[in-house]
Amino acid sequence: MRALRRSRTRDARERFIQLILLVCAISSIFAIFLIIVFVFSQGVPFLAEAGLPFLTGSVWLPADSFAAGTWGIFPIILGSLIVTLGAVAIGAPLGIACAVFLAEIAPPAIRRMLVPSVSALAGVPSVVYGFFALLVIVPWIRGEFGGFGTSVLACWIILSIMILPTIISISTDAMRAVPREYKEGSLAMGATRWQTIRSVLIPAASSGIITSVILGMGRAIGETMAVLLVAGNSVTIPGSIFAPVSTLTAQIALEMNYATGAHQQALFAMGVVLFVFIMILTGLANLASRRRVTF
Amino acid sequence: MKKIFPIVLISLLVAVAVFGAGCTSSTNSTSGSSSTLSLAGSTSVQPDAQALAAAYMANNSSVTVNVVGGGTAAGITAAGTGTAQIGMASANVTASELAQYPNLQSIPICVDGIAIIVNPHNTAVNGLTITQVMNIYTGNITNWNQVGGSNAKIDVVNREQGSGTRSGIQSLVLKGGNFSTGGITQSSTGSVKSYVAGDANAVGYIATNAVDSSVKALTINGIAPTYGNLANRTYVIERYLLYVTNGPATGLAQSFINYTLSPAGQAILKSQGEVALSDVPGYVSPTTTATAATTTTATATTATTM
Repeated sequence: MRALRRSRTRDARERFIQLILLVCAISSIFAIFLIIVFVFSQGVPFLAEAGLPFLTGSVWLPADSFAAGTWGIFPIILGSLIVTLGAVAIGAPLGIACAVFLAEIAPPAIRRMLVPSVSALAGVPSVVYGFFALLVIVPWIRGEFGGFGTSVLACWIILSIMILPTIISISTDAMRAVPREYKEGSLAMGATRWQTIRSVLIPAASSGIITSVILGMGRAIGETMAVLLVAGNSVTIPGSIFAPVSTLTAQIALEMNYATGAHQQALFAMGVVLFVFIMILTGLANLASRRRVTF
Repeated sequence: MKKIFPIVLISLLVAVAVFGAGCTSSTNSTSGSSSTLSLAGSTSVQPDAQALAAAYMANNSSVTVNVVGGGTAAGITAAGTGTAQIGMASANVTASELAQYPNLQSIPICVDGIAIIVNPHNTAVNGLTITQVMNIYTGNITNWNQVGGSNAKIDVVNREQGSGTRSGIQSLVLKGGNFSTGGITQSSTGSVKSYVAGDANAVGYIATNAVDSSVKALTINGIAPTYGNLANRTYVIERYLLYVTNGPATGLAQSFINYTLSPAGQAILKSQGEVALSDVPGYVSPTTTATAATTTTATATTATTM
C-alpha cells in the first residue's frame, strides 16, 4: 500500500517534469514555427501571383508594384546552386582529408595544435572572411584572370574555407567512432594503412561524413555577408567562373533596406525558395545519418 | 525539478521583461519625446545630416538628434510610419509611396551632383558625353576604345536596386531606361569608390562630395562636376536632396528643418560639398505647400535656431 502510494506521487512528479520539458521543447519549435509562418505568409501570395515565371524568368527588375516590375530569379537560384556546389566540391575533399589526418594519422602533439585551429576557423565572423576575400582574393583574381575579380571563383574559395570546420569536426568524430576492431581486423589481414582508411574507415564512417558535407552545404547556401562582398551581385547567368554572380541570400540582403510593396514580397518569396532548398538539404542530412554501413 | 522550476520561471520573467520593455520604449519613441529627433534614410544625405545635427546639438545642448542610414526608400517609409520624424531622400517620393502615405511632404535642402568616376590610371578618358554614359550603363558600349580609351573591357559598377543614387542615374542619364545586367553591384558609396580605385577598367557613380583622390571624376558633356557648375546647373547629373515629413513638421523637427535652411545650415551643407539653395540661380521650391507650412510656423522657432 505504501509502496503503491509512493509510486503514484512519483508518477505525478514524473509527469509534471515531463510537462515542463515538453513546454520547453514546444517553445523552441514555436520560434521556428513563427518564422516559417511569417516568411510564408509574406512570400507565398507573391509566388502564387507571379507563378512559375518567377522561378524560370531571367530578368530581375523589381518595382514597388507588381505590374511595373519584371520578376525572374532563375539566374539568382542558379547562382546560389553554382556557388554552393562549387564550394562543396572544393571544401569537401579538403575537409575529409583533413579529418582522416586528424582521426588516424596525426600524432597527438600535432592534433592538439590542429583541433583548436579548426575551431578558430569556425569562430571567425563571416564579414571578416568576406572583407579578407575582398582585399586579397578579389584583386588576385582580377590581376591573374582579368574581369571584375568579384566572381564565382572568389565565392568558391572563400566559402570552401568557411565550410571546412563543419566538415572537419563532424567527419573526425564519425571516424573516431568507428570501432577499433574494424581497423584492427583490416590491418591483421595484411591491409596497408591506406587500404584500411580507404576500404574500412571511410565506408564505416560514411553516414557521418555525408552528414558533414550536407551541413557544410547548408552553411554555404545560407552564407550572406561574405558572398555579398565578393560575388559582384550581378543578376545574370555567369558565363565563366571569373564572371560576377548573385545568390538568393546576398540579393535579399542587398535589396531589403529599400524594398517596399511588391518588391518586399518578392524578397520574401525568394526567402521561401531558399527555405525550401534548406529543408531539402536538412532532409537529406537526416536520411544520410540514418544510413548504416554493414560489412 | 528543483532545478528546472526556477529556470523556467526566470526565463519567463526575462521574456516578459524584455518584451514589456520593448513595447514601452517603442510607444515612448513614437509619441515623440521632446528632446530627441530622429532622421533616417539616404546614405547620400546621411553625412550632411550628421554634420547639421552636430552643429545643431552644439547650439541646443538639451537636444539629441539621431541620424541613421538605410536608404532613401527606408527613410521615406520611416517618415510615413513615424519611426523617424524626418526621412532623408536622394530621390523624389514615388507615386506608390505617396499612395501609401498621402501626407508626405518633401523639403529640398540642397543640390547634390552625381559624379561618374573612373580609376586614376585611366588617363586616356577624362570626359564622356551623357549619351556615352547612358550607352555604357545600358550595355551598348562595352569597350573603353569605343569612347577614346585603350582596348579594354569596361567594368561597369552599379549601386543596388532602390539606392537613391542609382535611381538618380536611371532618371537623369538613362531617362528611365534599364541598366544592363553586365556589371557588378556594390551596396554603398564607399564600396563603389574602393572598387573603382582598385580596378583600372572600372566605371562607377557616386555623389560628387564623396569624390577624392583615389578616383577620377569625369567631365560630362565637357563640364566638370565643380561647385560652380553644379550651382549654375550646367553639370547635368544632379538632383535635390530632400527631407521628407509626414504632414507639416512640428516642434523639434520643424526647428531642425529651419536650421538646415538657414544661412548657418546652408553653410554647413556647403562645407560638405553640397550646393546651397541660395547659390542656385532662379531656385523655386518644387513643394510650395511644404515651404508655406515652414514659413507659417517658422516665426515661433526662429529664436532658438538662429
